[in-house]
Amino acid sequence: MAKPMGRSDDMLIIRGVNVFPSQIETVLLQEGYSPNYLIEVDRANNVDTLDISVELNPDQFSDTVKELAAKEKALANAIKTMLGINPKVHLVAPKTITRSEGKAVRVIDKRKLHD
Amino acid sequence: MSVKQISVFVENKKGGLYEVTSVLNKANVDIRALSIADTTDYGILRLIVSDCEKALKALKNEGIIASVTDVLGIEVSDTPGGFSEAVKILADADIAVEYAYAFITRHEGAACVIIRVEDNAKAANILGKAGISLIEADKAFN
Repeated sequence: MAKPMGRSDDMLIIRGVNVFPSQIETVLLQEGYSPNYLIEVDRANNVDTLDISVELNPDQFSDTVKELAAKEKALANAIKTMLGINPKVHLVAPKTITRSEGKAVRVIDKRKLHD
Repeated sequence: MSVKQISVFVENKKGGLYEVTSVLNKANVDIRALSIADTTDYGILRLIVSDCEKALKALKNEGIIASVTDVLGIEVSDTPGGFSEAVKILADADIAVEYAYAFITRHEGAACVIIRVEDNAKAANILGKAGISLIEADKAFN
């Protein structure tokens, strides 16, 4: 049996692919980011979109856009390898993603699937 | 030889820039020159300030991402072609400029251009040989 990927009630289906938030967390830790993230799922032109906001680690900051963009791209690629779908990664300042008491809110699903 | 620049990560949100400037204000740090590189999600604010160490400490205390980068400050004449001449020297030596920004100094007829290159020592050497004066540390700005 494959290793469990997370609770099935946390699972999202994005572009027909099963996505567990814990998979994204694993990649963030591997790539040296803090495990504070926010997943936003929406639908544009009948295609699911996956946007992930990640807090930038002070050690990874660079004064050139070129280097920061490369880091963003490397993270997006690592997530794509893990999930099989392409995310859009947004780097944000440290401590700007809300820390919630108790169970963290990590996913905002804006898709209106049942209208 | 080089000038210390503070680079700051600024998120694209209302008041993002003010967060940084208010910290510098409270720390009583004066801004000599600045430039912002912007992308869709964030900007990189680059500053030349009166007291680099103090500014960095104040920003870090507030949890703002900032780092110090060594950049070159070159003095060019404030006349048409002044900057072009310096850029030509770098181009001829095959040195790429990552970014640059300029300001007018308090010295009559002189302008200062801050340039960021991969290899400061090499660029400084070539510019020096060509007779372009480099601005020493932070002294020139005070």
